[in-house]
Amino acid sequence: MQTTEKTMRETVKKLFLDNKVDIVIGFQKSTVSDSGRPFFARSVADTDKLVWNDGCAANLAVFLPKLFEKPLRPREGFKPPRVGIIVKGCDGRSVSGLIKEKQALRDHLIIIGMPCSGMKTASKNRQEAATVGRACVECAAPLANEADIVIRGDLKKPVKSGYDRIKKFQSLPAKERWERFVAEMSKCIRCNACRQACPNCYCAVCFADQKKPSWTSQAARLSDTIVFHMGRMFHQAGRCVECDACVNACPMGVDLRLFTQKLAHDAHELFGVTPGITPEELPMLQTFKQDDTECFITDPEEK
Amino acid sequence: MRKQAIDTLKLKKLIAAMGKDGEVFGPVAGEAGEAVLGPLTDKTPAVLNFGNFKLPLKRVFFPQCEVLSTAFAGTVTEEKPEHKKIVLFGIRTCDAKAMDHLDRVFLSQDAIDPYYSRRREDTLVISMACTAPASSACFCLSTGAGPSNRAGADAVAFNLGKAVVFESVTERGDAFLTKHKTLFRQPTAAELEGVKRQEAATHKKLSQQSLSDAPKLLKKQPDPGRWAEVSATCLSCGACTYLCPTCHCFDFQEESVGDGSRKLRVHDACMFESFTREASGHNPRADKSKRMQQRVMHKFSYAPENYNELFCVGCGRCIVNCPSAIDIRETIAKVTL
Repeated sequence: MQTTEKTMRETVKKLFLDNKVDIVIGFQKSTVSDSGRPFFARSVADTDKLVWNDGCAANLAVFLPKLFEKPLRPREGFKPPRVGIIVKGCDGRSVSGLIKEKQALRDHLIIIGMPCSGMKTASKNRQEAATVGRACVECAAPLANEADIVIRGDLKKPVKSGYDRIKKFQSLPAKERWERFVAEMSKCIRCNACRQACPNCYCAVCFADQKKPSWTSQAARLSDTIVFHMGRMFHQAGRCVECDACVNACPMGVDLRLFTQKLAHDAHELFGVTPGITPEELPMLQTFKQDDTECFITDPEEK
Repeated sequence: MRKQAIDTLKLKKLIAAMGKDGEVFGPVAGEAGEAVLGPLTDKTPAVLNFGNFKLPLKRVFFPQCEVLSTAFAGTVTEEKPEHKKIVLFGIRTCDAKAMDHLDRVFLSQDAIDPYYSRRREDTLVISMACTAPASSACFCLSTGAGPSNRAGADAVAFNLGKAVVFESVTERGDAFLTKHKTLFRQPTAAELEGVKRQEAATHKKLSQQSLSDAPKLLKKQPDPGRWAEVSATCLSCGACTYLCPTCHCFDFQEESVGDGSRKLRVHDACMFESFTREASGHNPRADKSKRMQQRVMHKFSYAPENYNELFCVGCGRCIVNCPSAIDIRETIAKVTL
């Protein structure tokens, strides 16, 4: 991992020296643990601060839409920044999705694919040692397929996701599923960390923040919380890349993966789409084919 | 200030006795094994060895959502929270200090918050001194709080293993020791020595770097570019503020219920884009760097000016729960460099 880190630093250093980038989004050491936290390198001097270890869990793609956002009144000669981004497989899938949705400019982006061996995340409820998260254990694509530069190193073996947990969960009676959903939602304090950490949640104004009309309130009562999460998750259909950025950001340990993965499962099983990997030009929900299944509308209980 | 001791085995009896005066809350084992604030009885004893609660105690007196009034057919009815006698037992001293801060805001003589005050006025606070930092992000010494600080507590307890030594801080705390005097005994010289040793040992385990200069340095108005730099990786979520024991900003919301309406008070967070968005659509703090500036300045500059206290107790919740692991100490150091 140390050689990987060294190669990564040198690669980024070269990008700055060759004047190919303005910013490189990567990881730096956290102040309270050895794990990595998001970091914007802006010069050659910053590259020494970049780290790569098994605590670099955050999905850095989340910063792209804001970086590429065109100002309301751009100054003359405005040019979007040239951005380098350090990506794991999941971050890479998010970046591909953002490019597809026109939130990231491909020709202003240098994607640096890292060999990911699975990231450890601290348990949110107990003072326990960090463990490799479910997203990493079940990861089917640990290396970004759209990377411009690939750093070699200790790469995790891809797993063929069988969606066993989802299949088991959806075979439960509706009442039990609802109870589990409500139990998870009850832990939520509506800090919006899940939404803010999600690369796909880039809406200028989230439906949950709209006041006219008001779809849900910030009051953190169970019904508000449920509307918020349902709305947010439905917006992820065919887009969620199963990176677990929401799960890792949640301070309360809400098991969001149990529900977001269902979307990924359906995209895969019903439409043959793996977001961020299927090389189609349009996002899943922006296309319609004559033989598209409608079973999720006509017979949602059909397994 | 009086000191009394009790054998740890007798704590159950003390909790049962306190239960006769009101509801006793303290650290109990939660579902996932973590300590959460819950009711203590002789059957659910307090967890004495724990780090700290995930959620701050402010939620007991200043809930995340409360109904202030309801309006129906032209009549407005003010809701009043139930007046209860509460004992908070075994809470962390940093959280007790945070309650003292909130009291300064909500119970200051010129503007007493009736909802907060009704919940707060009959609370007995017995904190428990830390014997080790709750997490790698603890920095209570830096804020002037410290692992056995007395602020906000009526009595502070020291867990010595076989015995617990209580030291009263307020008159209410004195009355508590007197009331249950049959359960207490005089602490031995060795126990008193043990308390001192424990305090000194815990101090050594904490960061010694002081933040007392922060108000003076921040007053010099750091360059806006520095705020942009330190907030670059901020995701604008509310994890830091919602879990902060001293953050107390709130918002009012109206909602319709049938033919009537309800007025709510809900927690707000200065990190949200909507925090200062005005009805016209204009937002003086549309940029997250301005919001980060607000949060740090409120705690380390405005509060010291108004209340002569840093509004940070060093519990470290904002650091461990930040998805980007932003460290408020580092933020201050960087903007005041």
